[in-house]
Amino acid sequence: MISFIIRRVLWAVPVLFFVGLVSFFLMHQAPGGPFDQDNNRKQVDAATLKNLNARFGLDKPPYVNPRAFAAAWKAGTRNPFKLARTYVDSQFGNYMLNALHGDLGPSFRQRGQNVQDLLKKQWPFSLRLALIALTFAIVVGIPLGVVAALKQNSLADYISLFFATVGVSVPSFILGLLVIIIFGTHLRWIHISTNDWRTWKPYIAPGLVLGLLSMSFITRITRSTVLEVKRQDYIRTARAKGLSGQAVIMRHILRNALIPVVTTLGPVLLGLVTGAVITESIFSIPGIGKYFVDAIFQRDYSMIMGTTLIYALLLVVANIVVDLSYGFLDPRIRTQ
Amino acid sequence: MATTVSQGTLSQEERAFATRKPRSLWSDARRRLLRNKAAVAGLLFIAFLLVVAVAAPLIAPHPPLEIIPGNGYRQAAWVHTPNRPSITGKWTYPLGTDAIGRDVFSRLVYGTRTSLIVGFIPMIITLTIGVMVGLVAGFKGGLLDVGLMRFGELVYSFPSFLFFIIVMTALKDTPIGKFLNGFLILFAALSLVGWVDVARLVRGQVLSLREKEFVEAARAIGVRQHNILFKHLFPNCLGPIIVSGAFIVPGAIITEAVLSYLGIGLRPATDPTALFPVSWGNMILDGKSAINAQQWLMIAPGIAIALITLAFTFIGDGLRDALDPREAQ
Repeated sequence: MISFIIRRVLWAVPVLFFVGLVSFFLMHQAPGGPFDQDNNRKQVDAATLKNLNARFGLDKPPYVNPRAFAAAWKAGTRNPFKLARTYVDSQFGNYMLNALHGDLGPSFRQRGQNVQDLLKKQWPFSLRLALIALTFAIVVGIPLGVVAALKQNSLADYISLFFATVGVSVPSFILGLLVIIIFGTHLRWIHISTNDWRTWKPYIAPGLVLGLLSMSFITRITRSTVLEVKRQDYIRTARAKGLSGQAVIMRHILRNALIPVVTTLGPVLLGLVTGAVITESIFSIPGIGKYFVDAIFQRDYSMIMGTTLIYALLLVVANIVVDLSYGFLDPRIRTQ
Repeated sequence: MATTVSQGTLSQEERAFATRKPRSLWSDARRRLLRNKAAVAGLLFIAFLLVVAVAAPLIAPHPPLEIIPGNGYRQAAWVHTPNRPSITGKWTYPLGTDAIGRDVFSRLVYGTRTSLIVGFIPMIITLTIGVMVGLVAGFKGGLLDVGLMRFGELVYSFPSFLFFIIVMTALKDTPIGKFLNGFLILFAALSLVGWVDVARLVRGQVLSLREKEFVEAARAIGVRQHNILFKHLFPNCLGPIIVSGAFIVPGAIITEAVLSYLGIGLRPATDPTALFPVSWGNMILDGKSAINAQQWLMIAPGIAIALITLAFTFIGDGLRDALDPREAQ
């Protein structure tokens, strides 16, 4: 189990490196740089530009710096750590090393602000939204799936299956926009523009919209695993030895059926996090997602890159937690 | 034990059973699929959309890019605003017009084309890459298998939605991004991510199939490797491949819509002869800025996307039930 945890955690390193490298490479292909000459604005003279580039390390090569390495070698440096440091003294190398220390660099658009400071200010809003959505998804999704499976082919089954299918297939951004039109501009049940996001109430509508996809997903999985477990011999045995229906459901069916459900929590969390990006921007919640979308519209490359790394880290951690959690649920996995 | 049974000893039913056409796995699957009402409804709806897409010039009352000055934000036909005759609903513009007077209904009709092509082409590319990688990895095994699967795991761990956003933002204004109004880069991005799921699925199937007797028999009589792969293993993986293909389509359609909504999807076409002039995602983006002025600009493409993804989900569910004998009861 411990070696499993260590392996899972270590695997996160190449993953985050890969995410960083691909994002950096792609962002580098985008035309234009942060201090580009814009003919409509005040010109930056060549000397200032050079200073700016030096200040932000943009005069260094993009990926590796063999020249600095050679220079250090000639100067007599033999310490392998220092040599390695000169070799990765590049834009990408420095970015990733700074990111390790929690420094994601300055935002290209928000003047004088660092990406990490912006993210620090916004994450509590995103967390609230995600919590509401996740609670809704689990608290409604699992019972709905169980009821549907236990009363297979009943009216309740068909209704919950229909809503789950609709919920899985209708994208949340369309649902969100329709909710705003219907409940915002027509019925006026929810406010569109003026909300105090430090309270919980305005999160309810966006939380339900965001959680619906995950809820439907959980309902579908729960239903199919409960159906599978219901047919097993040990359930027949449990019933045959005279256990009450409730005990069979709670102790035999649910405990076995929920393991596959937990394994899907990884994808569910992924859906929540990425879905939150759009939901936040539609409902104007000042969370990470909204700033991410704003950064996309403004082409704020450092903000996009920093947010991507944070999201990737979040997902890697979530996946590890999910992997560990079914070790706790299923003794067969624990012994491996 | 081989016994020859003469015709005379068979009863009527037995003879009927022995002489009827054998039912293959595929005809069974087709029957199961056609018994599923939701799947049939989905298939009919997609067939309907295909007709609409092909016959768009005949159905749409106006050219989708025709700008009519002074016609902006006309309301849907049943909304009458007597005080403001310039925006009151008219049946010549059934769903109203957008900011620069283009007919929403016509744009909706032409948008069908974009949605369908965005759904199908990435699915075909994704399946091709995924099947190739999965077949090779599963069949060859060894270091190649480990390498391919590890690389797949790496790709898989990149949150796909973020990957799409980064690719589209970064490359949108480069020559590659502008090629074919952004279709090329969109297809490439969608296919680069999706193949891993398919590859894993196919590899798993191949791993269990290659130990089966029919493969051993084929190998024993000297069938060439690539014939074993494509004639013996591949057809036996087809069921799960088709099912996963059916679920790739709505995913791609939603992704295109979301990206276009974020302004980093397909570029709005300017060429009036373009085959794919409008995307529903772009319409929603236009509609969001007019949420109070002309709501059908957003509602119409929103409902269209919801319906098309729902139809594909129904089809996917139906195919899974039909092709997976374990689930069929």
